[in-house]
Amino acid sequence: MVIAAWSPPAMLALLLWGVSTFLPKVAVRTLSPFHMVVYSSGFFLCGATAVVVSRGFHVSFDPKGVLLGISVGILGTIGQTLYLFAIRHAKMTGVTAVSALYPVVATVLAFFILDEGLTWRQTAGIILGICALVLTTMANDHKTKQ
Amino acid sequence: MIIKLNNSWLLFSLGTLLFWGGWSFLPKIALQILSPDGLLFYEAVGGLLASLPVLFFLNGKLEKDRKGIIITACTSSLNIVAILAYFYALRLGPVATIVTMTAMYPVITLALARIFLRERMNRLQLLATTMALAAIVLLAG
Repeated sequence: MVIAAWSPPAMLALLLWGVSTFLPKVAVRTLSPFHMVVYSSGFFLCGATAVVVSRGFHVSFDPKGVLLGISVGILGTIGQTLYLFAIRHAKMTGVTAVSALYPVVATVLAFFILDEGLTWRQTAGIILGICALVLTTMANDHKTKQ
Repeated sequence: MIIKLNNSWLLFSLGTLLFWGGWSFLPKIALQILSPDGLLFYEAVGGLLASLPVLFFLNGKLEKDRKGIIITACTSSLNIVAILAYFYALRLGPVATIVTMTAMYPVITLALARIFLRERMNRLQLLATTMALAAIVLLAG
């Protein structure tokens, strides 16, 4: 059996993202979300700097690129803060089902901002994603009433 | 039928969905100007800038629970390695397959929650989660 060269790193990314989405649930038991966000940002900057420096620091200083890059970090951190507050008070199953649907938002933004057409697969994905959101809400509502 | 958004976790989850939606979309534009390394670096700078008001709000005093700090450090390290592995995979193989494969990470998260946290799902939750995963696969393709 021949394993494609891209397969091991892709599998590694899949595994690590899965674990790194789970681990905060354990950490948030002993650290409050705000404190975790500050620590996380510090560690991420240290790690990213180490990686970039070790690869020769080929970083562009284009103002538009810098602004976009920083915006990515700000959006990600606000999202992470809300995620930590969500998992602190709820089961991971519900939070993961809702928050993992962020590609729906990205696809809709790409449609409106970049004029990227929607394939039938993406359209079906958006509809299914919205149904999943409604169903998760209903499942939670049902549980609350019990 | 009226669906009540009276639970804070749901509002926080929907907020996460919106902000992570923006976070996953912006790199499409940013990578036209920046290299993956550059984006990783500025993303980290942006993350620190966003956490500064939080640090100010906390009066600069951080909890010092060792276990929590170690787990947070591990999470950040895993994230960086995952991002690099993802970029490396993208350089070697087909984008659609790789995006689909890596987008399945909630399966790992849910499996870990089942094994270590003993979280169970009722039928409605199971159906919702299955639909969410199917939606992710469709969107990634």
